Amino acid sequence: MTTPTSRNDADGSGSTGGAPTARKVAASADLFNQMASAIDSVVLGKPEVVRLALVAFFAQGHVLLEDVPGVGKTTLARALAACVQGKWRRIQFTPDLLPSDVTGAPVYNQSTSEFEFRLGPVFANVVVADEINRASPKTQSALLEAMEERLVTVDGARYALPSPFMIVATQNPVEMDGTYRLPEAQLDRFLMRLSLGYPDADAELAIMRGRILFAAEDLQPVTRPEDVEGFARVARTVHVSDDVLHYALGIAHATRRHPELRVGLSPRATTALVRAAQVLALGEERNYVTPEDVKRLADPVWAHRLILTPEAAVSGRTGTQLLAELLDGAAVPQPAPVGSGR
Amino acid sequence: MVEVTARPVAAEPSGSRSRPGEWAAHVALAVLSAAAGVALAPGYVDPMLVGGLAAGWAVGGVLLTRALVGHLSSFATVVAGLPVALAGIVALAVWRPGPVPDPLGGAVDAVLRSGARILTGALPLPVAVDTLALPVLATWLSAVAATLAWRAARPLVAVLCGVLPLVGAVVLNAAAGPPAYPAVGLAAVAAVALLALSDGRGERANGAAAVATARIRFDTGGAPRGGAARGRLLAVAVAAVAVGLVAALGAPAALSSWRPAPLDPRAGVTAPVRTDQALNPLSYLSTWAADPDEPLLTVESDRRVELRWVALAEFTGSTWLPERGYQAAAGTLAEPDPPVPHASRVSADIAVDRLPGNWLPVVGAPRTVEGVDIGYDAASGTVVGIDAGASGQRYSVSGDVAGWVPEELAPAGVPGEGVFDRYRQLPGEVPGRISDIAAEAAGDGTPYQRAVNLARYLRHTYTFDPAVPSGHGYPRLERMLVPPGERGGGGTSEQFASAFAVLAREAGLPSRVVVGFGPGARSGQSEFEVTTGDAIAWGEVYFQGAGWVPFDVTPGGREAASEDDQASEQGGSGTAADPEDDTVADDRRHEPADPPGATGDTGSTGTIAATAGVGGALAVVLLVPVLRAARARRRLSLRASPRDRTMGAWRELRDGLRLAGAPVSRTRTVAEVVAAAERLLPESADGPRLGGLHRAVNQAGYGPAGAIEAHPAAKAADETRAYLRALRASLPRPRRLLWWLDPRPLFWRAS
Repeated sequence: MTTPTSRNDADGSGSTGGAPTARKVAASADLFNQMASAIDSVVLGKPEVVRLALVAFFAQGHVLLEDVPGVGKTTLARALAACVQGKWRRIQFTPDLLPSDVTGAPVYNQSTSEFEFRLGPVFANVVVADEINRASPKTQSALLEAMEERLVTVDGARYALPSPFMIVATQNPVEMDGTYRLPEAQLDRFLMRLSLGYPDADAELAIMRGRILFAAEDLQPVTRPEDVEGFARVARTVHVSDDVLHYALGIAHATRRHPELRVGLSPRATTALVRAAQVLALGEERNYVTPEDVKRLADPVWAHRLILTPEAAVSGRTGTQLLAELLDGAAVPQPAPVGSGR
Repeated sequence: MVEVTARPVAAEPSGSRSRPGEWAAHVALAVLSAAAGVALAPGYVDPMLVGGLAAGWAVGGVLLTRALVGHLSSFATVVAGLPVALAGIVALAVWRPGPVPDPLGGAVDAVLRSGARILTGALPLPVAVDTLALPVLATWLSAVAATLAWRAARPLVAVLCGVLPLVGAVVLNAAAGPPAYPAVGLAAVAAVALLALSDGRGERANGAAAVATARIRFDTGGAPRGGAARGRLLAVAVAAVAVGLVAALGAPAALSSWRPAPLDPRAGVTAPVRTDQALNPLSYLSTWAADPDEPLLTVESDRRVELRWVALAEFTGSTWLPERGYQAAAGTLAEPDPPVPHASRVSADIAVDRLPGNWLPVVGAPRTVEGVDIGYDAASGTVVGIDAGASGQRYSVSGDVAGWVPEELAPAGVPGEGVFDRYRQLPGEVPGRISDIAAEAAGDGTPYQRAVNLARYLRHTYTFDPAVPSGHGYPRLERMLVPPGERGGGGTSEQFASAFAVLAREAGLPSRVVVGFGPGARSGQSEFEVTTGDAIAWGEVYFQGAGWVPFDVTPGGREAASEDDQASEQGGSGTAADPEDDTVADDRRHEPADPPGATGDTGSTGTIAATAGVGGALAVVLLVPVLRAARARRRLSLRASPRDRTMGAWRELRDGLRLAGAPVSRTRTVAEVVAAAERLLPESADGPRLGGLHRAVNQAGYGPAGAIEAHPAAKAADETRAYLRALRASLPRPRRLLWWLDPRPLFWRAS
């Protein structure tokens, strides 16, 4: 297994100056596609969701998988984790789960007569937080700190989380009894909210026949943590033209003025989109972002951050619908190369 | 739907051009649009004013369009500008009212009838709203269209927008004044500047423009951007001035010896002001001769003036007919062509007491007539009152009165065969006696000598007889023209003038009959009373270079007449030494008001116009596919940079989709457009695909500034070509046929 991005690190880490070179772009796209096809062999018939999840992974963001039970949320999360040559953990959230069950806790070591910090399950490269909305807000907020700060603070001591670090949380939108809705602030910390949906007939038949090539656990790691960081570094240098930035900004502004929205998109939301778009572009072997990337990422990155007015929510509108309408009405910057008006 | 304010979505086509260049281009657009007005201006009483108005409207159109075009679509820009243009017409109607005094009504009347007024008005046209509306509106529209075309990165179309009205103006005004070299020069300068400023790529015109463009590209090639802009501007200025000098100075010099008379489109128009055909001024003469003391009119002038009333050029065999059509004219009338020799300007105030018909007596070749609305026939020099008889009219008139010098006339020839035939026609069979007398009396010699001989023969052989009843057809002339030696033969000036004109025609001289008045009797300090006895008819013969020369042919009936028998016509001293009158360019065979039998002439003019119209339309129709194909070739050309080639392919695809009835919304991304395009074609595994175009366009449009490779651009161009071919083939037959004929893509914005 080659490690193209590590090689790239050697030659100047690309974070300064212009767009990445064709060689770096090709190597990064290669890595991206290897991981995508590995996961595709486990999560059948969902290539788009797989790629979006990968985008979040390489953008070092967190993903909220929201769907009914049994469509493969956990499988996707585990497959993602398995692809990285690193640690992955799974936490099943329940109402009685305590913050220390997530972050770890100081434990008295009788032999040394001292308290030692025992690392919780959150200390891993990929953490699958199953049914995150079943835990109490106290536990949820412990995870929140870990997600945003990439740090765990216990008894005044701070413990750094490994890198890369990604939380793949799942939640079931149907069954609401005995759950604690995720607060808006926490929703905003997920880079993407994805939904798998039912597989199409062919894929489902294949699943029923047990023709899945691999279980998530059988996947061989395709990449090392350093490669992921290298990819992220290259991605940050992907070219984003002013036209594309203005296009995204125009839509974000429109959400802030939209009568059916209580809260529009924050600057964190717009930067998150750009970050994701850069990764997506690199994954498709491009060193520039197009308006298509913005359109494609708008729903996963933005829809869960929109807070509808109560009236709109009652009448059944969703952030996804509103975004689709806005995108439909927004003029796309037409390709017009610099320096040649005619 | 919520409006999203995304930034100016497409880069302005002008965005890459420097600001001074942009301003220069707009100045050039204004100049180009104003050129038509400049070409038209000499046809007006006040050319400077008309030229200024045209320039003002052109500048207004360009500025307004420039201000609006960023905010509105092209169509909306045109529509939004119209109220301003119409308000300008209303303002014009207030300032220079036409025949309808109410400003709004006047403006509407002007917009509706301006074209007709320009065509049927006598030159020079008055500066009034009804003769200006069409030129200024055309200037405005041309300015708007040219600016839009320019902003849409279509310099050739912009030039066309200015040149078309200019061509119209030049054709319309061909006969009005000197050739429109300055206007053509202005337009050439502006066109060169525009084409050069358009950065030259692709849009190559032929001729000087291409040379200039090429030179500029050479001059500035490779220079850094800021310096390049200034350098280019300088080069454009130099090239424009050079072309302008060639057009304005070189062309006149080169073409000065080549003087075919242009065809005046007014000749093809039936003049709208008519006179009562039942009236014949000539037949009043005998009545008036029998009762010579009835007052007709009063003339107030510081000198004795003789008046012209009506010229009659058409002889039917039984009578002479005056012209029937007259063009509405401003108070100022055009200088006759050729100019009146040794002219002196004479003016008079005339109060008509009683005159039949609406012909107005004038002085010599009339130059100004004030105090009455008039129609004018330049060929005959006759003035009529519009909508009113002559009786009771009071007006001031001035005119050029000729001073004839027989020595100068002696060598003059008459127009050759085929020219002025209208004035040589004698209908039916000419009685033998008239032919004999014409041959005998005219004798040999120069045309002038023969005309003098005829006049002298008539004056000396026959007698003035006021008792002879009216009539001047062949029978009456036969009776009057007794063979020499026999006594008898007399008549009034009616018969003598008619006889002279008929004899002259029989002798091959272009001739006509004119009725006018002697100076009358002094009745006050500077007042003269003209009575029926002063009415007189005379004959006129046309000589090359001199115009219509009057000959007094009536024996002794008038005092002072023909004392000197040496030449019956004459200068200031005597008799019907009238001003001759103006005349006429060589091509005036196509007269306004043709005789009834000669409608074929008008018909042929109509046929020519129709042929020209159909031919022009056909040329435009054929020009469209040529321009379209040239543009497609240019856009996909190998010589273009890979980036331009990619964008060219993209524009071709968008235009193609729009043409196929599936226009591309501005809210669609490249991927969506490509997907929609592929869906348009029937499913087929090996159908054309646009993946390469998709990628190349995205890279060219949103990628970093680095060059894009030639290979992807070539692939994009090939894919686009193949796709458009397949798209055309999939269209229903009528659409497929119209594909290349549709001119709209030439005007679509480039973005």
